[in-house]
Amino acid sequence: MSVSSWGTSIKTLFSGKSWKAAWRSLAPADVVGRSYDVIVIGGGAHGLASAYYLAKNHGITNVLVVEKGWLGGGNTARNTTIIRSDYFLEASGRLKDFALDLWRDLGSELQYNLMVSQRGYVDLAHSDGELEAFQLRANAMRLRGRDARVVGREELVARLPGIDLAAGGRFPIVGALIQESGGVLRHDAVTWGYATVASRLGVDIVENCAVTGLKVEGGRIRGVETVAGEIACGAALISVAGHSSLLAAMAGFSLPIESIAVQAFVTEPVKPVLDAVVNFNAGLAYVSQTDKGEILMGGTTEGYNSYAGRGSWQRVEEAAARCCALFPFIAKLRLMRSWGGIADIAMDGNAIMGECPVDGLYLNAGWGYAGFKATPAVGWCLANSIAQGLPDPLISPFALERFASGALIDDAGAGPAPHLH
Amino acid sequence: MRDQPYRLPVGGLVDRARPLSFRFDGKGYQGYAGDTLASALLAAGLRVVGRSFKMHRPRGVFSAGAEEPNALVRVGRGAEAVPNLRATEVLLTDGLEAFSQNAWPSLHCDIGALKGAIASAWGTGFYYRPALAPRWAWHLMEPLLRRSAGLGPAPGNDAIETRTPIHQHCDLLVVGGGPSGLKAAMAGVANGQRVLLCDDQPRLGGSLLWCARSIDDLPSVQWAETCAQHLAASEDCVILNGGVCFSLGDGSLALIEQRLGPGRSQLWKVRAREIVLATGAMERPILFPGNDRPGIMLLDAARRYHKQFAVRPAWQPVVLTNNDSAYEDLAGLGVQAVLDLRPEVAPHVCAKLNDIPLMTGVQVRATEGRKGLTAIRLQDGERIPCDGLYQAGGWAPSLQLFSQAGGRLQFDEALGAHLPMGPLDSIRVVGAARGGVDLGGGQAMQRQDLSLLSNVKQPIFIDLQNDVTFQDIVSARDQGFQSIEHIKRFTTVGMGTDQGRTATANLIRLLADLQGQDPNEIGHTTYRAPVAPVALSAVIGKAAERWMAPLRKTPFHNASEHAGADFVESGLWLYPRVYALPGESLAQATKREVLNTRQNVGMVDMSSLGKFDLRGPDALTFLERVYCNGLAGLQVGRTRYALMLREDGLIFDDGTVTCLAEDHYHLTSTTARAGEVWLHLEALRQIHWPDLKVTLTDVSDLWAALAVAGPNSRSLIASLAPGLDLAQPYGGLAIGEVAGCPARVFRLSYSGELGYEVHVHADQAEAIWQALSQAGRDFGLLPYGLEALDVMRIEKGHIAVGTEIDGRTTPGDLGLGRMVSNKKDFIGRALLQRPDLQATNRRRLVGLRPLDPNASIPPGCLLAERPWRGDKQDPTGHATAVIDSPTLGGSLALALLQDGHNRHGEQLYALSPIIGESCPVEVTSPHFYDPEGRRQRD
Amino acid sequence: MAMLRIPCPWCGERDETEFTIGPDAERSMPPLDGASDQGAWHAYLHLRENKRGLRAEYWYHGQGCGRWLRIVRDTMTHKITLVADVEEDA
Repeated sequence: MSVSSWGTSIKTLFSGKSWKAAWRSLAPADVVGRSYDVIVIGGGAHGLASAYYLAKNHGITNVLVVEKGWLGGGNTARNTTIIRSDYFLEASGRLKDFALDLWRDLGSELQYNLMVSQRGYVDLAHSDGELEAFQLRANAMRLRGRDARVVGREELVARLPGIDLAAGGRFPIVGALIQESGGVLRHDAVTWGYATVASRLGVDIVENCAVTGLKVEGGRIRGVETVAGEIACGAALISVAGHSSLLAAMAGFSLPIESIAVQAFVTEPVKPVLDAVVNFNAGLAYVSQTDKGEILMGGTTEGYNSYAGRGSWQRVEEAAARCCALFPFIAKLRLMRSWGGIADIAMDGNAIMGECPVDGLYLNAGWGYAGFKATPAVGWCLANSIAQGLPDPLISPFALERFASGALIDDAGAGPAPHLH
Repeated sequence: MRDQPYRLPVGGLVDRARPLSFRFDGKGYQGYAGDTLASALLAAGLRVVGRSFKMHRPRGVFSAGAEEPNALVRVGRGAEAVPNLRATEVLLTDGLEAFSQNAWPSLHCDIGALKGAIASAWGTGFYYRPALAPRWAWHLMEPLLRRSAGLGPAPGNDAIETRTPIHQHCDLLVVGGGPSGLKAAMAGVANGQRVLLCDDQPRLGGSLLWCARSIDDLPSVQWAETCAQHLAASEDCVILNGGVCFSLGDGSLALIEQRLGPGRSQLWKVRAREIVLATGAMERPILFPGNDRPGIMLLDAARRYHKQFAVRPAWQPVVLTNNDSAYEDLAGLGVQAVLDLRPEVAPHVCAKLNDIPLMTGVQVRATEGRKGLTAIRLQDGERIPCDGLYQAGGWAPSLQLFSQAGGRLQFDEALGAHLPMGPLDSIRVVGAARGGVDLGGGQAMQRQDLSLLSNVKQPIFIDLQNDVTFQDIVSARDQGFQSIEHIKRFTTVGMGTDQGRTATANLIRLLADLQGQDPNEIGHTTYRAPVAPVALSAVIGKAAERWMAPLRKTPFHNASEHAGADFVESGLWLYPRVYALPGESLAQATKREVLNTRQNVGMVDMSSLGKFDLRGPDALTFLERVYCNGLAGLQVGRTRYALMLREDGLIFDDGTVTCLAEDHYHLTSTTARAGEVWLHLEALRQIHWPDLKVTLTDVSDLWAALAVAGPNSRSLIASLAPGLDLAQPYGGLAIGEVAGCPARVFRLSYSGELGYEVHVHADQAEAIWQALSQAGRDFGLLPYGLEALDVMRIEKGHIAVGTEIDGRTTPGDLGLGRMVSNKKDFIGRALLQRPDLQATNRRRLVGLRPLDPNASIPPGCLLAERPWRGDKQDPTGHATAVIDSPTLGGSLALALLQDGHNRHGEQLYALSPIIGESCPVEVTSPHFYDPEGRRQRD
Repeated sequence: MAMLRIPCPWCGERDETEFTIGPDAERSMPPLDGASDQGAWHAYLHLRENKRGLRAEYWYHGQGCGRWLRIVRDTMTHKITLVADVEEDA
């Protein structure tokens, strides 16, 4: 740390009036009729990251991000902000590894504090068999150059004081896989940081402008029709978690995806008590504490397709019961806010990225409720693919063709039953 | 004990005959039965009762209900403590102990305030600033932020009271026990409806308890009391006092938390044919500089403290208003002046003030008083000393439930707040919640001119709990944020435990003014459950986890327990793991059980397997479609191993098919997949192939099964079943009696030894176990558990669900490619032909043996060409199961290795970076023990 | 918060917790006549419309009659407009 950079830091800390935390949002009317090299459909973190890396890594700045509602208002705003790369399968793991690498210093790069907090991710095993599977996964992570360790009960209690290993008695805990470089961050800041810097680099952003159609001529994407009018483009990226199938339908094809509701919820804030993200595997629940002090919890999907944006009370009961089994004190807190999102879950539970049956049209879909952690890597690799016209090696395994060819990436081994992923 | 300086000598609905003692921050005070903690604190003259979230500013009681942003307390001590309760909702009980929160070392001298002052000077969005963006900077800052946030301390892990939720059905659910709610409930009862009335207060009546009106010629309190008595006496009416309806959703499901005391709540799940929302309206604050000092509160709250609790929150208060409703019911409050924002007030309204002086066209420009209001300053510099300011900024109907249920809201200019739009299926909004009569004076309300609020020195708080100011909102706007959702997230406005109740209406108004938009264009943030924070102890109910997945015991459970089993939870089942002798380790016991089975005879409980009975003329057709291997040649009385694929061609499950008669089959599945296989088979039978004449019955629980395996198994069973033909070949079936129990005896083996599976009716499990145990003494019989079962199948190279059948493997991957029939069509055939599932470089099942016979293959290892040296490597395969083999000696493993079936004899490294080991191994066949299968077949 | 009530034709109206959601009922399984190809099965097994509005799906009443039911449900409102035993359609 040089003295001058200290100085700069102190200055920016106090110069609140000059620093702008937000992007320039254009009116839909300002962009209608124009022509862009690339239109990114969907102003979530994935879409904004793609636009940012197109501009920054490839100098492609004639880019428009078009968003139906408010930036980052879809699944970017509705996830549990967990980052980790504890995957066994190579393709899954490598992409999230790369994302973790990017997350570490993304704040510095964007000059925007994303509140990246690598406070550790703890995945709990409920049987010796499960623990052996965790050893395998931890070894795969280590062989990819990642941190991972598998701990028994005593070490786990030392790492997570207050955990009840009996877990209510039904699914006692025998050990855990810990990735200390996993953690949480401020999801909204990711949206705002990418949007602000992309906007500064010349990317246009338009909000409250729903896409109503895709103009495809001769098998090639030519433009995007919006509520405000038509906008021409050389290439387009569909990055609309929760509505991927509807966009694909506009281009005339179907996706191997189901759109299922999933929810998360927080308690009232309390002083720091939980210093890791903890994942309970018997039925699935995950819990962490936000910097504001809220205990943040999530569980499984609803099982059925929904665009209603609300989930069932049963899922809240289940996830809360599991978290309370682990950390009984949570039962004394009060549930303060809940929210629901729509997860587009692909048939092998993994994302679909890259080209699609329409030339010049790229896909980023099927992330289920696991996409947030991959954001910077997704943006980076999609920008590479779009700029170079070649799939980036990190995302080429995630091609749409894999369902027809059988090269599945099924981390859970659950098969074509999206609600089980 | 101190007296109650702010309590009036007479009046109120508190029970003066029942004084209650309580402690706040360690000091003793007194109140009365019927008090809330807030009214008792006010009676005691406590002005500062909490510190705000971000800036740690001293705060006093602001309201009298669920909207309270300031007076958050922790109730109870030690493990029993419950944080973050609103003092306005805590009923006073004798001996109650409460503590202020978010202040250190004390409420009156809080270090956090210093940090708060600094953060406030830095302005909104401080934490996102570039200076904090580098990793090191945030590393330093985050712990400080975390410590300073968070309101109360987390409670302890013990003394948790949970209650099982109550399910209730009714014709009419009325939410809110105020005037409109009572009327609706009375009408419902009169119409013969089964009514459930839920009211968040301990006593029905709502605003009737503190207004000075008459209904049906009765004073309002008495009218409420009469209604309450009438409803309580009705058999068709259930009254939930202290019941907060926090969610209203699809299928008319209403969720109600009935508060029984701090940390004690009961959840009600109510299904109603019809719902009436009489949720009332909430008074809105007026924005002015320095509006957070203790002593500043809502006028309606002051009225309530006065009338209901006989407490004067201040001795010399002023009223600040912009509408006519503030002129009602001021008698006895000691108001020294009414300040109206409006330039003029209608004479008939002024007349209601009697002798109270009125000032019109007022703007409050500043307030004074460090630990409580002492004076205000107006725009002309006039200073008015006062110890209280009661504000009345108009009303906001409480429509969160209506909105949650799918109702749309429309901003009403005259009211300055949202009103319900259009009807909603089976839900009606009544009374003040729909802007009804009780909000009188709405038309005369004047919009606050917010432009007058710029260029003031003191902060103007919009969200008191989260310390979000008018200035913060302007700053967020200046920085480019436009959407209400962005502003909410950037400033945290409305995101506190009060759900922003006192903030929302002013925020929407402010944004509309700043952006020159109609408030309807601004919209509102989505209302989601819960409307008010709900205790998780009530949500989870009793032992919820057990209900979700009840633990199952096999019919042999008691016998196994008696035989000394150590049980382990395996999936849904409690299963014998080993039958260890005293002092024996898990490994020692497992080894003994394996060797005894291989040398003498052992028995293992197999009852948890899925068992299905299939009958009908099309039974064979059904089976041929379901399994990938051919079953056409299966003769009556024979059993065949069978492999079931998913529709996508990957292995789903393995099991057996036994032909009992030409049109009658017995199927088994693995324990792990029993439920899924049943669903799959029933889906095929019912949905896809209804034309096939078959019936399917789940008989899993009807049969108790014991596998008896080992060289002595035949002699042992023969000794108990002299009439049975046990000499038949592998796969044979003998039906008859074993030890007097009707039994099916299948000649099958998972262990690789001569073996039989003895199936008897579940209620004869105990008998067959005892008979075998007794007879077994002569044959060296010992029971064995899950561990030995697993070890023997691995030695044998048999695959299992969860390890080799991992949802990613094909029959070819596991060396079962030749089982796949090419003579028929079956589930999974088409998609199994996909090129990448037929590729030659897939990972295939192999065995591994260490080159050094004394070395151990590390569990969970990966296979690679080089030993682990801390660098990255691409693994070429991975172990699925690793054991120390009691039978063969030394370590061995099953593994999936790229192109493995062509690599037997190759040398690789089994790497386990987590323990820093690299074990040189040789690739072998996965069939380690008796690969020709002589022991089980001959 | 949602919690569906499903009027089972055999058992009466019950909570969704008694049921298990099954596959999409918008398309038919290709026949096992040896002629169906990868393409037909890929489309059947993988591709979904995810329509906004009415969607047909199968639910299994595991804690009731043990029948698979065909249900038409609105994905925007969760409102169920049709429940029938699968045999009724056949």
